[in-house]
Amino acid sequence: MAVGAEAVAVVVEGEMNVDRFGLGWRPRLAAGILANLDRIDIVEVIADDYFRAPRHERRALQTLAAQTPVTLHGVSLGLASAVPVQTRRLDDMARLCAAVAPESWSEHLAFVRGGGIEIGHLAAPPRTEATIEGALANLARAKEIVGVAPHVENVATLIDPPGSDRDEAAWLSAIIRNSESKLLLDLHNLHANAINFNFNPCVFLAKIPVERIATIHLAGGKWIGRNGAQRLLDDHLHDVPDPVYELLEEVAARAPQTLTVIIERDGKFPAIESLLAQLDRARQAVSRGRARALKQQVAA
Amino acid sequence: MNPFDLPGPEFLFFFIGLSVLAIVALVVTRKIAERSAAPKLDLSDPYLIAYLRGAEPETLRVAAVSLLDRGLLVATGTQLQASEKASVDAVRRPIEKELLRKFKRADEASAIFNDSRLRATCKPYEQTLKTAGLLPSEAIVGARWTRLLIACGVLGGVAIVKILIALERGRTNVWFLVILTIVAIVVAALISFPRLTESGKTMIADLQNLYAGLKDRALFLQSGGATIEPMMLAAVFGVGALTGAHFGYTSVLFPRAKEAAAANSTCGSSCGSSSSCSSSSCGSSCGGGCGGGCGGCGG
Repeated sequence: MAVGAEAVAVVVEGEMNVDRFGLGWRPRLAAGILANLDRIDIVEVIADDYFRAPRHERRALQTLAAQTPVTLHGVSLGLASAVPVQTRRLDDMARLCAAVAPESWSEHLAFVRGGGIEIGHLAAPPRTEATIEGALANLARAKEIVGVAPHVENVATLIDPPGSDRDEAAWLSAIIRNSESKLLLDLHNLHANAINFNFNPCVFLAKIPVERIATIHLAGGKWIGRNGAQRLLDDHLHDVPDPVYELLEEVAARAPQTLTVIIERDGKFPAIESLLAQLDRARQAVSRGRARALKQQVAA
Repeated sequence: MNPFDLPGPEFLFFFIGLSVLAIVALVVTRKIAERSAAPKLDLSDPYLIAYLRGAEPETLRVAAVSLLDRGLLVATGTQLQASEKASVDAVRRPIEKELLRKFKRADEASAIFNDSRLRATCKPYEQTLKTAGLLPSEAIVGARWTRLLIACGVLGGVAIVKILIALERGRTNVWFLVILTIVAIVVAALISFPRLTESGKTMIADLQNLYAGLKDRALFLQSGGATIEPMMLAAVFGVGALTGAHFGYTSVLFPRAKEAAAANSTCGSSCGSSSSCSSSSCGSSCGGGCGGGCGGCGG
């Protein structure tokens, strides 16, 4: 049964007056995050961890949401697929949104299962008209059931999706322009794809509707493969590298709207001070980008 | 059926049932009345959380351990003394300043619990928590009294009417009913005034849930004031939760807190705890991180 009606009013797109900078909520980081809420504007919670969670864990999430703005991030819907997203999964998201009242919710433009088999990975789908239509249909259903359209995230991939007839920027733009969803732009995914498939990320930015970017993900990764055939893996286990901050500055210069920037870290956790320092670097990058845009405006 | 016409033993059973009903009603109405959405708290202050969990004694224990961890207090056996480098001006919280003043000369650690000046430094925490609805304010205490008086009025009224009827009918064996009434009223009074409101109880449980990952790493927490983690652990779960070797002195200074923690952990393990897969392994935005890490996150 769809529970959209209950959820419609509770996911409130925040009135974002200033750029905000936050961290992905991980139990390992809890003490550091809660002790530094004066330096963390928002936390992003993995929604799937709470779909089947007992009542007391959901209530704890509500308590967290009372302390700081929360956004929910899904990882298992598989929106970018010709197969409709299961209603059960959207109902789970709708119930969680109703309980937590997050500022927004997001999901990946990936496929995660096929023929009933979970592939255990956020895989890039073939970039075709069929997957665009599938994603648009899934986004419409998601909005109908949850009440608010999700922000959708670009994914990293180590292989160029076979069967594709267009590049990632064109595919992503078609989905964003034809849906109500805003873009969650993962800059490390963009950086990794740009390196692995040898394209210029700034050209990518020029092709996509940057005015629809609402959220930015920053993360780190590592090099894999042997010399000569090295590829960059987005693993969320390393610090945000310099080129990603440069991309953030570029986005801030191109996108005048307010942005929410989230650093994702899933393991090999450093001290919270290190993550806060990375958040500060992100703030500085956005400031530089904003200043650059202002300068260009004045010059024009 | 008029219950007042019931013979003695049957009426006593009726009265026991009425008492249980009144007590359950007291508990339920209190829980409903004192339940509210979680308030926003300053979660960077371990002393505020410690006060919520265990009032002055817990706050003072956590503050003392915090100063010990930072090297501002030194423990010798069961005694504490301010270290040579300790200066009242070097700390910012009144509770810490007062602790350093108190232990200018060596004294038993347990002396903190009887020091009125130290206890007074905890008052602001009490006030903050009352304002947040986590500790009973005067209004909440007033409402608790009202509910208790109504319950006592019902129980006492029924008992008095029955006693009068019995006396009128020439029966004087009313002592069981008198004792039962007193017991019921005492129990009602005892359950009517818990230290925390329902919201306060919930907040502690939620904080313990949010900090569960910290408890799992208790053995490996850094000492020396490098991070706030040990103090948050002590604040949320009690000083006894500091199980790392660096904090061995806590069991000598505050043996009761250690015993309480040991009792809690025994219960915790036997009752089962949250699975590790709900934490970082599946908490990752990698989504399928549990099964396919080699493919990277992609998300």
